[in-house]
Amino acid sequence: MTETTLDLREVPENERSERLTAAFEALPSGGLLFFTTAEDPRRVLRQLITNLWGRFDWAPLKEGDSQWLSQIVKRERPGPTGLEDMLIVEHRRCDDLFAEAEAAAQEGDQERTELLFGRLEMGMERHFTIEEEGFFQEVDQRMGLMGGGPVAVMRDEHQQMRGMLRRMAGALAESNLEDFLAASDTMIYLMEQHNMKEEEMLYPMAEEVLGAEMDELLQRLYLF
Amino acid sequence: MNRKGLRLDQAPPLHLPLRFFLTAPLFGVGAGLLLAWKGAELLLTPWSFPTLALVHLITLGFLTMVMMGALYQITPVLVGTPVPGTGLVWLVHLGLVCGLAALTLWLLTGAPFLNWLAVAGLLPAFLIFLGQMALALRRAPTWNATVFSIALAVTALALAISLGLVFLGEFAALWQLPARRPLATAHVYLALGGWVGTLITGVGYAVIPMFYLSGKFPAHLTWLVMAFQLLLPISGSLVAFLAPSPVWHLIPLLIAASATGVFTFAVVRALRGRKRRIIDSTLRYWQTGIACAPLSLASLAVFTFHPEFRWLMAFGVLFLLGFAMSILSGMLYKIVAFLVWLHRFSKMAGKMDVPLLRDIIPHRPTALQWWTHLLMLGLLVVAALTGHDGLARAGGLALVVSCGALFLILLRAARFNRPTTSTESTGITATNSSGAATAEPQPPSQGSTEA
Repeated sequence: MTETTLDLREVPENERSERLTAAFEALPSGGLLFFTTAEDPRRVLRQLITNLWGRFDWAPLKEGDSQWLSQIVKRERPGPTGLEDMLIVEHRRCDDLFAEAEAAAQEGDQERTELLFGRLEMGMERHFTIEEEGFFQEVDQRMGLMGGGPVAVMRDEHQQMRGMLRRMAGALAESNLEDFLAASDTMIYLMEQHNMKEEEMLYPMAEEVLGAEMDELLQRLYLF
Repeated sequence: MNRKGLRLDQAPPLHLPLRFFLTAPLFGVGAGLLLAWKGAELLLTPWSFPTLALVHLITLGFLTMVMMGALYQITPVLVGTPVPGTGLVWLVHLGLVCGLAALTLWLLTGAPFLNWLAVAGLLPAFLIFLGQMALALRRAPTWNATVFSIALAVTALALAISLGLVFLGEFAALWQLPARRPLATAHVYLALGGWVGTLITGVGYAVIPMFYLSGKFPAHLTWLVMAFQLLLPISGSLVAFLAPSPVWHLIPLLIAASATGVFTFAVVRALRGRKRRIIDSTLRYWQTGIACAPLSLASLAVFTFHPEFRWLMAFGVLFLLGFAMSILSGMLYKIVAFLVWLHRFSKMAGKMDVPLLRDIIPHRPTALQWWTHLLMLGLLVVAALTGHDGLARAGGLALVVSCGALFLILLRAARFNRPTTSTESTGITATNSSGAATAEPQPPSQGSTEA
């Protein structure tokens, strides 16, 4: 995969979107762009969503300290955004980060574990928020579930996963990689059975009830 | 797609699958004791009554016991619909245990009332179980490869059990069977190929990507394996009735080999490409099972050309203990540990002193248990091929040890309950139902407590 980096921290505000778009257009299909901003990148992304919606996948990697790091992937198959392109892509990206963080911990590389785990935490929190603040509500209403049933279970499991992420972060803060790995080995089953329920059951149904409105909904939720 | 059917909150209470999971190793111990007692005479022919007792202690007592418990647990999650009538599950379990005990004693002693007792236990147990599964599958909101393989496996089980009851009826002199041997062959194809083989592969598609982050199995491979698995019991049964010579059994054998070949290829590729590089006993058990499957078929192929029973007995050892028991044992470690954690500890997941899976089922005892399982396999394969009495008895004892250890590890996990006494809190209140206020987990009786 081609990787490009772009630093927008010193770029004047009115030029940022243009520079980001130019760097994006220069990417080959499937290419990956890392970009750094001095503040929350969502502001510059709004422009990108207006102009290039359906052609990219964005994910935040690091926030704060006047140095926010994000990544953008140029989609190989542009088109309307479905769950496959957004929530499922994020499941797989988090799986990868999880496995890499675990591998780094197995090698005893504290620094790299922290880096990758930080990205995992950010990715998962954004994903939870998108689902809890918008997606679940929409599915809930359309399916007439009144906040109960599958969506309530998914919310509960998010809370449990947040707990496990805190547990892993605690172990990492104490530089206890052994304990980090023990916690990750519990987390993985919680996370994967949750993903499976969503991907095999909830998402297909959500796609059925939302149909063509899915693209619009996801666009609305994108910058949560 | 039936939206109203979607329920993701229908996981049954913990004791429901656990009673099956904890009973299964005890039947394994029973099988080992029987073998240690009778020795190589059990390995001479698959059709003697004591050998049938041994075989059914493993197939029904261990394999089916685990698979039924697992189906009660995973059907709500994998199929997305609750299993109805969970209040009757104790009856299913009781019927299976008593019916199987009676069947074993009847096969060993021949006392006629035991035959009736076996039917009285097994018939209601399977009727209820199969009825529950049929209802759950009928309400399935969506049909994917896993749901399809569950349906196929359960159908094969229904047919295999029906034939089994037909045999019991014949021995009770209710009727006379015109062709017992072909029916028995069909029974074996349905039970091993249809029920055991299909369910294990179906579960494999679901759990290997989950446990090891290996990526999904390619859909065309899973459907290909399933097509072979559908053809296997059908062709096997047809050949059993119609074929003029045993060589015709090569047709179902080739189908079984194709299914095994594709499945083995897919699993090996998935495990090699897995993103999680951890090695645990479950992985070791998958590797053992996947290695034994082609060996068992090779043994069966030799039997087709050299009809000496020792090749058939070696097939039995390799398929039932090497393939099926291995994979199910490995799955038990993961499922039991996760279920205990989910039911007792998930609500306080953020606390630093909350037990983790490795506290509930530590790695080292399971690794040792895997070694005893390997030893048992080695002894019994050689005993089956040579007919050596000492090896058969030693293999029986090894089976007692490995299943006994499996039982103790699972029992300790089932009883694992640690209320948090620490005051360090992240704001989540720990609730504990049992009230046993001990700071340390209490191992039941064995010293497998180190983390």
